[in-house]
Amino acid sequence: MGSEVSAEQMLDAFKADAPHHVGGTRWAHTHGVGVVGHFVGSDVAPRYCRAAHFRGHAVPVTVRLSDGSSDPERHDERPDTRGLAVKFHDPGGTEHDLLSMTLPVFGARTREEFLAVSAAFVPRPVKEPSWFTRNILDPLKLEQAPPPNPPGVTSSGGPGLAKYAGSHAFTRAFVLDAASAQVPVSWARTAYHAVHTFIVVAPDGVRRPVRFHWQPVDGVFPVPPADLPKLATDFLTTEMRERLKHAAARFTLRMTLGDPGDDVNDPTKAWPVSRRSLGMGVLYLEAMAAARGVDVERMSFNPMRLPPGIEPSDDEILHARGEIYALACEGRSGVGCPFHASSQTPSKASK
Amino acid sequence: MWLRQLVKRIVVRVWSWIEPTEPLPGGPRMSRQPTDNLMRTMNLVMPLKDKTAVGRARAALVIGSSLDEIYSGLDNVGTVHVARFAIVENNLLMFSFYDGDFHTYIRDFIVTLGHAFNAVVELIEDTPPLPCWEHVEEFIDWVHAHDALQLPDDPGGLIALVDPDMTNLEELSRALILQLDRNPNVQLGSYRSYPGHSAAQVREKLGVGW
Repeated sequence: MGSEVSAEQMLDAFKADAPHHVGGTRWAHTHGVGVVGHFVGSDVAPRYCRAAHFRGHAVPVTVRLSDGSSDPERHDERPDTRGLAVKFHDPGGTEHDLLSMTLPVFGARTREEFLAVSAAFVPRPVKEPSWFTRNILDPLKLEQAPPPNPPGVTSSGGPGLAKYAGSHAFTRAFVLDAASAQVPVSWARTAYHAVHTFIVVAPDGVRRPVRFHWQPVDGVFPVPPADLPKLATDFLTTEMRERLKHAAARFTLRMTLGDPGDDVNDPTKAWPVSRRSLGMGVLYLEAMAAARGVDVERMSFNPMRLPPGIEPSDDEILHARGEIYALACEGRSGVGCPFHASSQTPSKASK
Repeated sequence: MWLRQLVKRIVVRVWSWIEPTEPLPGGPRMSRQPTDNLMRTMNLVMPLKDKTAVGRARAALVIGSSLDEIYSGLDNVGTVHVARFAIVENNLLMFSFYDGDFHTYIRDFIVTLGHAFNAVVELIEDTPPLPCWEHVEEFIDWVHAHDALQLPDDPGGLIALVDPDMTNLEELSRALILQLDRNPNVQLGSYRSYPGHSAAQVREKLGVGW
């Protein structure tokens, strides 16, 4: 890959985007909730991937659902990028972490771009556009005003990033998708995308580039804008706790197969909807992790923790995220970090 | 409300004069990748000459009386997943999912249901030279001109299409407005329940004896 930018530099750049960070918590996706359940692979899954959790039997999972913000105050009610991190506990002791988010693309292709995007995203005081700008000037220029900031937001990295995206095409889709983020009625009512390309290995040795997506069985359902002011700051957690008392929350795992010619190393570009897509199985979220004595907040999820049968592509950001997550985990004394005893080393696990 | 609509119309006219925008061609875009050439979409928007109920009824009767010909023709084309006709706001619409090259599709179309389509296009404004089987290239160009612009499903693709030279993200909405001013009919998304598979593959797997 040849980049001289280290994971430490990237993490430092990211830290500048979270000036109010509280020690011992995650630098991004700070607020979340842990749940446990199981995953059952579909009939077709083992034909395409020899990973143990695609063999059709139930595999236990530990899951963290989260808000993307690094704000130390929880704000479930604000538009944000949500996260779904799934840890498959394969028979035999190997693990697979599949990290996904509601945005279908990432914001950078290289370590250098990551630094630049992070610098553009440093929060700055926001100035509300005047009535004249919103109602007269912008319409006269045929410009769509950016979505208004939620009440109480006095600084944001959004405007700086939007300005940066104007002259840097690679991050435009990411910025536009982020700007149109909504508030789901539930963490179980939104779709999640793993954004990076992985190489799945079939039992016959055929290797295919793929991207994973989670689709909620109950369907995607955002909160109507008029209802946003009524929401509590922790309503997603409350909703999940109530939901799981009655039934499991379910997601289907879709695996999209890349065509010859698709850029497998660029997470800033979505693949077309015309690509072949397979149903790989169903995820069942059954109980709050805390109720089962599982401390998900301390647990490490790492996109490079891969089982036999799934390999990383040469996506530079995927590899960098693996290093950054490991560093950040070490910093907050998380569990499952490669620097702690009895933990699985992500890069080795992928081999 | 009416005042706001009027202001919008005036502002769009002014901007279309300041920034003349070429209408982008409709139909699917060029691609070398295999699955992009499967389940492609065609959205023909054909304004009726007669915009009264009489004209709409005539179109309904022409289509209705040609359905045997159309259905058997589409069966024989063999690359069509779904096709349907509708009348919306005095436009006769034909929407379809098909496999392969657009020109090949329309040529097959002319061969297998050219007679029925002749009768249909006679009802449409700006009728092409007929019969279509004697004016194949003109007919293909006519169909292409009536095939709606297809906007990409993802924001990156949208920017690349409507404003590839953008230098400011805020310019996107203006570029989109000015393009839709020239191209009022657009496809906004197309779901596929079995993406990446041809009609022939589906028929074979279903064992329906094609």
